[in-house]
Amino acid sequence: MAAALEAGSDFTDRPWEDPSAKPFIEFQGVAKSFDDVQAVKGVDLAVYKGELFSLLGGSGCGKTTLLRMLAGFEEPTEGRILVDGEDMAGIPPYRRPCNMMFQSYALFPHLTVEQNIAFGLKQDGVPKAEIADRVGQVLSLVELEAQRKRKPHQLSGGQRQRVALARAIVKRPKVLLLDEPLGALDKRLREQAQFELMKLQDETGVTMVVVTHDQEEAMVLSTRIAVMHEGLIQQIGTPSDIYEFPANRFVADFLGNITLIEGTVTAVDGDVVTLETPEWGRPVQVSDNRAGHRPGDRAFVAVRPEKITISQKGVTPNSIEVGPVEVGPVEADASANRAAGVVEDLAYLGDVTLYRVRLESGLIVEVTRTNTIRGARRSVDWDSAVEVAFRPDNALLVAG
Amino acid sequence: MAGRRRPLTGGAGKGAVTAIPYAWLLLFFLAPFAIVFRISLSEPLIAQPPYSPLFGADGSYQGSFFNYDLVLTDEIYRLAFLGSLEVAASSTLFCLLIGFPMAYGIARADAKWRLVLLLLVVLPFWTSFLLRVYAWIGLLNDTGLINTVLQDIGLIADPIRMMQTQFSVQVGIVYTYLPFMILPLYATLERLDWSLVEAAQDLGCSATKAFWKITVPLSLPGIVAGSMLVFIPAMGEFVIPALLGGPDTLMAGRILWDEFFSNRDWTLASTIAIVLLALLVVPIVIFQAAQQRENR
Amino acid sequence: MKQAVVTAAALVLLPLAAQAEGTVNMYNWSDYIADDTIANFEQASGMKVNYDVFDSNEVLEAKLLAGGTGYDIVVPSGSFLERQIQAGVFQEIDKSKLSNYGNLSAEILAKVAAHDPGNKYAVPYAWGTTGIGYNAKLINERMADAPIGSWDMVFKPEVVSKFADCGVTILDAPSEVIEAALKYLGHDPDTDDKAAHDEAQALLESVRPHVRYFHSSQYINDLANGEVCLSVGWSGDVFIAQARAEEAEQGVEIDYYIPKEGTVLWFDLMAVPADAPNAAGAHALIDFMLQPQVAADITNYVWYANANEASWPLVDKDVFENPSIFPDEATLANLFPDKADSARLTRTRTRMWTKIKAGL
Repeated sequence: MAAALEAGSDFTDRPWEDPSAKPFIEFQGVAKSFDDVQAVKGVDLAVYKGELFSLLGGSGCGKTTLLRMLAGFEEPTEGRILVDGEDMAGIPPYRRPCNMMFQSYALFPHLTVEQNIAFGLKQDGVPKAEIADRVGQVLSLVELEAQRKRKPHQLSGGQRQRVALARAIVKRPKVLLLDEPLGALDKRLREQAQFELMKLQDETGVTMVVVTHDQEEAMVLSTRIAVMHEGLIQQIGTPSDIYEFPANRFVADFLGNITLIEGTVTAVDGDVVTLETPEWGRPVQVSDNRAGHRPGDRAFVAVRPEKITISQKGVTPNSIEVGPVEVGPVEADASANRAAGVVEDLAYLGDVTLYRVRLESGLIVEVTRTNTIRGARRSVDWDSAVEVAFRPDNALLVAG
Repeated sequence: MAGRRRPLTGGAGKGAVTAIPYAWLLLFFLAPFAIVFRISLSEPLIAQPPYSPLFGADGSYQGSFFNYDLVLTDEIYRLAFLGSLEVAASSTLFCLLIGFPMAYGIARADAKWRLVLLLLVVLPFWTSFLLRVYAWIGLLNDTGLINTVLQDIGLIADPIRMMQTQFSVQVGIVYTYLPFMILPLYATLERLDWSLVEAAQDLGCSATKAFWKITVPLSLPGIVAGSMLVFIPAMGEFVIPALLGGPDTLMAGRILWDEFFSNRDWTLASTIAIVLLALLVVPIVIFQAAQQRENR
Repeated sequence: MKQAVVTAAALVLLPLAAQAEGTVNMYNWSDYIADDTIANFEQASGMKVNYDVFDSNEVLEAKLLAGGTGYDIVVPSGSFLERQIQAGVFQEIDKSKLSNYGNLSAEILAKVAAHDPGNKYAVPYAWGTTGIGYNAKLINERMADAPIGSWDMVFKPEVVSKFADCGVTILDAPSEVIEAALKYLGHDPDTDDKAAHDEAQALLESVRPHVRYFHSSQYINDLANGEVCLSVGWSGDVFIAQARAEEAEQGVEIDYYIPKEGTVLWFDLMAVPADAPNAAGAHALIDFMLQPQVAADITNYVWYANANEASWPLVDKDVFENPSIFPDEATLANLFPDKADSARLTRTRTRMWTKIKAGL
């Protein structure tokens, strides 16, 4: 995940921060109802040229409907969609400057790999020689030259995914739509394919809109992410924005593990907010008041597991395992929020170990520790009495 | 060794299971076929049974293919087979033209309606086939419902001649066999991944073009199966042309009836049956080949 | 012709009737017996009767030739019986067991002998003619001076063409219709002369365009409904159409005549299959049928003439005096039996018939 955050922050071109930049795709107050179900409830969204934009959310959040409206398979019941300044209302899918890669890949089973890829070009009446040429190019791009004469059912999952991608890009669309592009692949293939997609985007500069339910995929791929829930956009931002500064409790909870501590604001001093919270057991300080909370407000303190330290009671934090002691930032900070608890559960994940600590109030706090030393013996174990702590500037305050 | 379990699929168990269809075929297809074939090699006789024995008193073989010679060279039989072929082929085509939109409509209907619609398709089977064909007589007659209504509303002065024509036979066959076309078509269309059609549209096909380039080729197994299910029985159809057809409806089934009952020539009737079967084997082989190609 | 289907099944399945003592299995034409005949016999004899019906000679014959029908009495028509006797299907009638045999008309028995020499195998059940049924009103509208009473109605193209629009039908019975045509042309109906047959074929082909269909039972309903107006049919069937038309009260009136040029005189005859399980019971039932009152009741009910001379005084006056049912001597002299054809002649006539029907 570190790499993903790196990729996001490395992205220097940030047209969405430039007020003079013109969006390439625009959703203006778009809503869609099926019978009596409102799938999309008024979405405003701007995607800029060259972006790899993700629509992220659980099933039924409206992300796929949004994508299908962009592709032209559904018409919005309200609002309008613009692509390159042109209103898409009433324009059938085959006249839109978009191509879509379907979740099921939707490869034509009666056609070979080559025929599948050439299908779209044939419809456009591209000359035969050019078709052969372009098909050859994308086949080499997705490294499927050897399989060109095969039928889809003779391919592996990863190969099919690449055929679907090749078929969608061979027409050189202005917008490439991807519906769960990596969902059907196993983990190893998925990581490889993620980087291939990013490479493709770099090389072609095509604007991509990706629908996914996988937050990790969205984080790795995207320039920006729109998190959706119940037909509404909860937050739009770069992967690190969304991860580090979730706009609300839903977003915070949806992306990665997080501990939410409910409390009442008792004091606000500049950026520093103090809350009374029975869940934590003692007052908690948070250096985040973007929302402008005032004393008396109910709010949640959100802390990511990697931002919390864990130590055996009375032992130097983060030196739990035998071996050289890593000096964490917490011990130096007297203002850190601390609480005592018992390890209820732990999971060794290889790179990190995840601890679930139960505080006296019953609140479960999730903590991860990077396993920096090979073969280190674990001193914190099931039922160990521990102390957990986090710094005020590593926590966020989100509304309920 | 007591208590050793044998897997169900092994040994005698498996043999018994696979023997069932073979026994069925032997008993209800091959044995009757052999009898019919044996009769076709004899000459008609006024006797009980009314055909000559295959072996003479001295044990010499007396069968011959002279009936086949007659059936294959005589114009009447050729015309009857052609007549059947024509009726069966055009009925199949009409069933396809009517059945495809219906199957398509059902397959794309709301899941809660599909069962009801399918039920409506098979509902006619719950009444006697003969009764339904007789009902068509009541509709198509000169004094039948259609003519009476058209005359009453003043659209026509004299009744339109529909009964005992090629038209009424066609209507009867298409009506009777339509469900056999719809059901296999529905089965393939229902399984069809509609995202393929969307993909085709996404890649530049209009809805119509996507239908011809994707839906039709992918429903080919259903089209072939449905066509076989209509074509094969329509080829040998006897009851519908007998009830609804006119005297000039020359079909293999009627000729067979005439030879067997009117002419009491069991040998020639058997020969016609065998030739008809041989003619039907051709489309079945084509069907099989198509199926295998599909599976490959 | 739905029997095709039924027959197929019947030929495969062996008769299920268990041959209990005192059970008689009779296979007769449909609508061919009085309501109470069987019940009366059962009461009188203490036997049980399984009464089964068919409606085409062909179906009956297919069963008889396949063998093992399980029937004790069957009722084929003359020409069919003739061939079935040759095929060895029947056993001789033991006349010593038929106390009422003497009631039969010697004259009719003599005619029946054409099919069954010496009356050895069969006892006449009923007889009738092949003639013309017509809808008087529709015919009159189209041709006021129509030659009713003559084959000209059907065999003259210039006449029959006038009725094509109201519906002309002909029996799907090759032998009978061809023989009628031969007789109309002045030939011997039983001839196997090729020239005569060519002439008959030409005659039938000339009227073929005006014929709506060839069928042996459909016309009963169609005549009654006014769906067709002129049918070559069997006397009794036309009378059924007449009765149905009257019941329907739609203003349709059906009449029947025996063509003056001469036509087929046919007999339906009771015979006992060689493998009948209960031949004694069969004889008992036949003897019962020969009682004058029983025979008269049947005739009064089905409107077909019987051969039981002793019963004639008991037959209703309007039936007995109807010349279409009981023809007078002069007409009778002109009628001829439909003799069985040789296998070769049958094949010739069937093929000729197929061509005529199909309009080839």
